Amino acid sequence: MKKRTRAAGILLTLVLAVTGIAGCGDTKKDEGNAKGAGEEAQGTGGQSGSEGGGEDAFSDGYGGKGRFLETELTLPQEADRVLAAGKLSDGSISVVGYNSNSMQYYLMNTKDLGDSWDSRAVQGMDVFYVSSAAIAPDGSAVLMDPYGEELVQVSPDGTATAGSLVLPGTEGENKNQVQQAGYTKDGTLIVLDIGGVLYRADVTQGTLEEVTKNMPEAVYYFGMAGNDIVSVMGSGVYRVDAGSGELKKDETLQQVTDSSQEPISGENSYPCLFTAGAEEDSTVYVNHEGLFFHKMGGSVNEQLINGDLVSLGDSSLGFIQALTVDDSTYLVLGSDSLGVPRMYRYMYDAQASAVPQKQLKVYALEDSVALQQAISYFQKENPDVFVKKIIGLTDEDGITAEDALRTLSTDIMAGNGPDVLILDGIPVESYVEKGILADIRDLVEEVEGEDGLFENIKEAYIRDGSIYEMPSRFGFSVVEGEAEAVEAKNSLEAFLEYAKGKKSSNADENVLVPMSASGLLHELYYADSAGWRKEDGSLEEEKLEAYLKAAKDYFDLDTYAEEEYNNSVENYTFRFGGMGGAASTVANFRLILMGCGGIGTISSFRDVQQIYATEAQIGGAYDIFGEADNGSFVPYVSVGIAAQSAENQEAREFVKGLLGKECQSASMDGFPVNRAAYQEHQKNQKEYAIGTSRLDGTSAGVDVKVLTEEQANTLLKQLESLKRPVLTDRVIQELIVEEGIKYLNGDGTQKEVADRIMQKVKLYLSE
Amino acid sequence: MGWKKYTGWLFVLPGFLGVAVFYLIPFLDVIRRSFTQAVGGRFVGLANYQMVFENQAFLLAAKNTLRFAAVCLPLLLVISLGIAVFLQRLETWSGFLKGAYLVPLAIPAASVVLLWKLLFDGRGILNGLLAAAGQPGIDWMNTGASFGVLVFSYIWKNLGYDVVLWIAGLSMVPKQVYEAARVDGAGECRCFFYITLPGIRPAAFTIVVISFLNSFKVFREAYLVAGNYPQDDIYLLQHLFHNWFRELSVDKMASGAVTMAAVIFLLVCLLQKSWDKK
Repeated sequence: MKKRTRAAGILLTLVLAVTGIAGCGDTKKDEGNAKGAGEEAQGTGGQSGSEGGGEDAFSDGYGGKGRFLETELTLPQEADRVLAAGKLSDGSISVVGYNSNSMQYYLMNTKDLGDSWDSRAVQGMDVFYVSSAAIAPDGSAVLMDPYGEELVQVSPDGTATAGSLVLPGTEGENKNQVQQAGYTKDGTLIVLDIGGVLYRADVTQGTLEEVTKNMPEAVYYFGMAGNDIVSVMGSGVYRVDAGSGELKKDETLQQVTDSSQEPISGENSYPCLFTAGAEEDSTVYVNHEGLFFHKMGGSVNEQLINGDLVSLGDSSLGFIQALTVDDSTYLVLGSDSLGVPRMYRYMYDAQASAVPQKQLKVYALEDSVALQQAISYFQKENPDVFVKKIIGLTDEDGITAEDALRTLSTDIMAGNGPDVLILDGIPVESYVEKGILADIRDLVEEVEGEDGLFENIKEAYIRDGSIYEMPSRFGFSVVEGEAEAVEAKNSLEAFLEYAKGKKSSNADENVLVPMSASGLLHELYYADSAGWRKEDGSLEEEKLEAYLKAAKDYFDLDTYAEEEYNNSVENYTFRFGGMGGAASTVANFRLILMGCGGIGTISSFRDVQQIYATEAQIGGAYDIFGEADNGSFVPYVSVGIAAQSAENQEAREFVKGLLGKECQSASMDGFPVNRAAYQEHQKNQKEYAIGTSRLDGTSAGVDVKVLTEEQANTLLKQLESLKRPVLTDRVIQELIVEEGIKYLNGDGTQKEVADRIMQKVKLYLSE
Repeated sequence: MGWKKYTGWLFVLPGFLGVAVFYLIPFLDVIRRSFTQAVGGRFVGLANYQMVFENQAFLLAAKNTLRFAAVCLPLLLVISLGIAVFLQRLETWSGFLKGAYLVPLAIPAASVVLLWKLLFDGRGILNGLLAAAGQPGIDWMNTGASFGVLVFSYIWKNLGYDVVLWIAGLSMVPKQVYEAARVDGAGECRCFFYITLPGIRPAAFTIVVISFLNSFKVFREAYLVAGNYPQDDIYLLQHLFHNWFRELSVDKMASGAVTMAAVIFLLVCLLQKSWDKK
């Protein structure tokens, strides 16, 4: 019996061992099969070549061939705005462009996929604002104003013929408008009105006919796929036959909703574009995730291009038109965050590796447009390097910054750390002390030699002859308001003294613009915190108390109605999400007669333009907050390289790109440290109008102008005078703001709160 | 026949392997790291230990942790033993009460924290009661009172567990001994001091060690209620390790952890030695 039990035990052990080993063997086999399938798919041609060229494919590490490579096309210089693009029946591509200086429209045609262009100015057209345009397969185009009342049909040679459309609901104050236009393959013009109704339009007759009465709901926007209209609606995406109005249901296509249902991101641009695929009954769509192919009735949306590997992943890119040339060539027209037109060509290269051979890991605690632009720029220049963007704090997982930093620490200790670190919110002091960051001074000076950098910003980051972090962008705090307010710019005390004096002379008047507790504490922190640290690293308690007192005095000074507070300045600072400077928001409040001044950050030419425009209208000024020649700046997108980076050369290239002219020119989030990019920002200033309404219902607006030479020089001098970064320690800032909010809301005395903060900060610093 | 003497080892082996892989071997790595730089692994001798012993935050946290253990342990052991003795005598309701004492263990920390916040906030229930009684409110979490809150939290949470352990220990004392003592005229006190206490001595060692180790778990509530940087009196070693990890101060963490392990080991050895003497 004993023997039998022992034998059974041994047998059981053997079975367990064998199945365990067999299990391992199966796994290996599966991996092999997967690879085989992957390779097989590679061989099926362009449409499968780069499928899944993302993170997972990279980590698999198989060396298949074939991928769509991106080329940015140079559009004719005449056009500083583009409205539409179309593929003509002869295979060439046409684009409708506009030059805002000459107020001239152009038809631009290319027969070699964008390598060369033939531009023709539209002749015989009265000047009017064109909101919608479309290009027909025969090369003609239609341009129309928002109401369809002013409309021209442009022949392929550029001759314009006037026409008009009569939209239903043209009577009354809320006139119907044209939202979008497009041509079917057989040349029928399709128009979408703001009510979400699709029409077949006859421009010569000026008539409209509803495509179908059976649309389940209003159409947000559409794309043309041959003679089908790919309509984006609340419940999903549908193909509608433009001729018969038949609704073609396709469950897989219908589910392309996540990115396509977002509101239209800007004038003439959309979050997702739809066009016809090269095959019959197929659809191609483009969004920031990439370019996808769908066969009607099929069960998958096949990713042909991974957005992360090309410019499509740049979230600031607005899409205007996607075109399928053939199954190995696609064109995407869009405009960047500055409104500059961009056109990309994607051609399948059978010899390119299916996924990039190298991987560069870029870590940031929070995502930003500036970072995404840098990645897209680098990706474009280095198609054989896959940039893996790792964001510590995402909306999805709800983890705290502390948790994210601990995860980062784990990765670094495990040898899986990033190559490039965006250091905003990361404990830089500690990282430098431990030798985690490499000295990038030579790199910074290389960029400085090529384009020039703001030397004052660079100087602020030299420690013992080395540079471990370098902000790519920055802003600074200003006092904005009437002349007396600006005169009181030297300190928070002086500013509040002015405000209280003003209040005492007229108790009914609101002196300072409304700010939420959090917004106020952040803005005053940026203005004042640069000088809080003593040489031994501890904080000046008196300065902290003065800051809290100023915040409380500011918060309690005026009495705003609840609805006014609802619109108060709340973290508009660019540091938290690229919203633009709070100072321009302060100016905006003054425009609607709420307050005589305020303190906020300036982060772009646009802010400065807006402030000057407001000042010109209501009288006032702005100046750097603080003592003369001792201003502080708020760093943004500070970058460093991991000392133990496996891809050191690529990491250096990435940082060089981030600090370089092209990348820094492309975003308005913060002033660029790169002087050449700064010149570009100055050159690219746009004039525009802003309008807002007061609480009493009356409206207010200003025309924002390009800065005069004198104004631009003043700004440059201000930027060059900034000496010190604000206190960027995330832990200290959070401790102060967290306790500060309680204090502003009446919890504790100033001394108690200051003691509480100091106790916590001392604890933190003593660690 | 020769196999038989290894049977015990074979039973222990799987558990030991788990402990070795997940605790002992990593701890050996921690010991190694305590003598090296945080990043790069350069040998630095005792520099990390010197850095830690000179670190004001470490000294404060170590002091608070020891103080916490010194206050909580006797309190918990005495109260739980008293309740266990009482429950053992109880004819009815003892089962229900045993269960009731274990309820705090089953409540998720997040719920407990919510309750703590409601109770101890500046405008919370306790201050509301004080105000109703005409007394000034207390800033529970930002003054020395926070230590009391933490002690209360620990005892509330662990009382039931210790009661159950004590009851298990008490059940090992034969009832006949009590009956014989009573026949000889011994009172309750004499029975307790001369029968119960010596009878539960073997179990007491385990209960003391477990309660001591459980005292480190109070950090979770302290962290969730007061964050990374609580009032000085409730800033514990775990807060410090937690924050050091964020800053990637692995050198300090390793030497701090080795120091802490050495102190715990020493305390447990001393405890065992004193037990053995008795």
